[in-house]
Amino acid sequence: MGNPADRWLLDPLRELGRIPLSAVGGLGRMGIFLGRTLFYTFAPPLKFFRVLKQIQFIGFGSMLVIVLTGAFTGMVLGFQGFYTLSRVGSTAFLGSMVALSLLRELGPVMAALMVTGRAGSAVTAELGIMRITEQIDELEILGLSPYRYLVVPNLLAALISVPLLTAIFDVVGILGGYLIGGKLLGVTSGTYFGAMTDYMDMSDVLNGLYKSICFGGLIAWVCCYKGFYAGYGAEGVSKATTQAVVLSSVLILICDYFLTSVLF
Amino acid sequence: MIAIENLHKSFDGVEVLKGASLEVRDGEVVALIGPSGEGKSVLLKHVAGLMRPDSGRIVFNGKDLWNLQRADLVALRNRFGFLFQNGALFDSMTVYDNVAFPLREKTRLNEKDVRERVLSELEQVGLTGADDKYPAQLSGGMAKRAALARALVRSPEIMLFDEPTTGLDPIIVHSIHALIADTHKRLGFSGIVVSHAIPAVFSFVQKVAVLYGGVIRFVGTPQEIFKTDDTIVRDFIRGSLPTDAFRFGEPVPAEANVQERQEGTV
Amino acid sequence: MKGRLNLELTVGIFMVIGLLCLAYLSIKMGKIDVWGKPGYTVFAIFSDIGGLRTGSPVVVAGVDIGLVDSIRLEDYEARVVLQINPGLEIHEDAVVSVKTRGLIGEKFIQISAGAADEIIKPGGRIRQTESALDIEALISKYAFGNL
Repeated sequence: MGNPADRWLLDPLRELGRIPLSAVGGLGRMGIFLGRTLFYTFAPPLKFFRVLKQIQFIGFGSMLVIVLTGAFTGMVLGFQGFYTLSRVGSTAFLGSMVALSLLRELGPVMAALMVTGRAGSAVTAELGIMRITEQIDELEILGLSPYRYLVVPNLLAALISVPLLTAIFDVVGILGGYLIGGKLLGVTSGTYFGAMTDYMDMSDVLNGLYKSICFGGLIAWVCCYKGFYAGYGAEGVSKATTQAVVLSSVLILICDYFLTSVLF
Repeated sequence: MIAIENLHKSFDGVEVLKGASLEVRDGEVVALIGPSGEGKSVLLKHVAGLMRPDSGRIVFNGKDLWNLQRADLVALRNRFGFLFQNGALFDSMTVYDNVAFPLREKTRLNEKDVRERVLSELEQVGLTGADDKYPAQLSGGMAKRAALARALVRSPEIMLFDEPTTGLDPIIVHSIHALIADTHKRLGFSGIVVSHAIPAVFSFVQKVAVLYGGVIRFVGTPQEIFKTDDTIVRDFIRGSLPTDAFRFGEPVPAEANVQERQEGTV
Repeated sequence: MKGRLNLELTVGIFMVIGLLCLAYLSIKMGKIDVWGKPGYTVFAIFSDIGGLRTGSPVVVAGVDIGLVDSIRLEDYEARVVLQINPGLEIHEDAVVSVKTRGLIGEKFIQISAGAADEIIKPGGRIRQTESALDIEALISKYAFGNL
């Protein structure tokens, strides 16, 4: 202390060293959090009623936003696809192009991002408020695991809801693409749906499904973790919510890249 | 018997507890008092096992809390009640469901017995008729009483109260104190009450402990505390020094306190 | 328990819609036969099947009459099992060929109807095959004049 060499040279270095240390520490804590969550997922009893409630919140509650974004994504794909394909004179492939983009890429990613924004942030905020008002501590005192009551239902609900929401997104998107390509730009329904069926197979559907399951787990993991370890006060909760949305969105895109390279 | 032995705890490099030790005998209620920000709540959460000490031990009847088997820890938790500062009622449930929650989750009582127990407990705390309200619809005093009902519904052997009366008006403070004294007589739990309600809290406790500078500076009966030679304790009791000024009168050993001090003076 | 009913109903609606969408995608894209595979199978051996895949259509006179069930390598030749719709008979002297839709389009199997009295039994083999046309080889031959 007080030594100028210390203050100007060593302290900044110390601070610099603290950043990777705390990052690694945070990663470790996230890992432990996931481990405990998985433990309580498989250790009965399961709080089935709470799982239903979270499916209602994450799944049913996100349907409107998924239908809206899905329709418009499909419609944009219809437009863009048509103009791109018309340059090379193969607008007959519009159906397969729209379906392929949606099933393999846009469906899982967009649906996951929408769920993060709508439901993930709310999960973080709710857990964060429960943390700062000591409701999580109260569960501990009652000898009940907060993982079992609060985290596991969210994880299971996300694992079930996100793939289903993705499927809804895909179907609505394909119809949206048809609305533009077929009704507006004159690709016949036979060509549109025929090309779609011909050039797609089960692996496309499954790849999208695997991705969306991974994303569902990722959203629940990140958003629950951030809420569970929220800081103090309203500021702590708002910070946690922001971090949860940002981290989860970034991880979805990173994860998407690796899943794509592994799955194809 | 609960024994707190030489407890140390730091947060972000700031040492809050610096070797606090305290004993609570069976059936005894101890008032834990001291200036704000000294870590009374932190100490209480250590006793409940919600925080892990950096060093030191929490011992229940000769068993170290952090060396217990999982099953033993759960068994121990079942004997615990904790009244949190803000009640910590589950805000997604009604008052009735809040109080019924521990019974539904931890016992095999049927719904009729649960109902009986919950309604009688709500009557004890004077909340008859408020059972279908949500926590957000309750006043501070009502929320505290509902939380007390939830803590007491399992007939705990150890009760920890984190500022049960802070932020309530004097009449409600009195009624909550009477309620605690009453249930103590009825259930005979041992407990710790963190409180700022001096001297009201002395009316029903057997012992008083003063947490000051990260250690338990004084332990004695409520009568003894008025006769102590320790000037800091005496001054604190008389309230002759405001809490903030109090802090400056103390030598500051830890470097972390420097920052706090600057914040106070600027 | 009105709230409980409501909860179950909304979750139910969501699950039904979601699963329907998933089922639609699987059946439409994955060409999964929910009711089991109708009809019967025959097989043929090709020396080269180009880019033929399982699920590719089988056509007679431009009409879909089945699809490719499986492809396996046997003695360095491709053994292709064809799923034929019920009610359609294939004559013993029919010719199967691997064709391409358009210049760069999808591969499919075409069966040209025969006239023999004999009919191929389920599980039987179509003997006359015509392998995929190697368009690249054709183009290079043409381009470099080695006709």
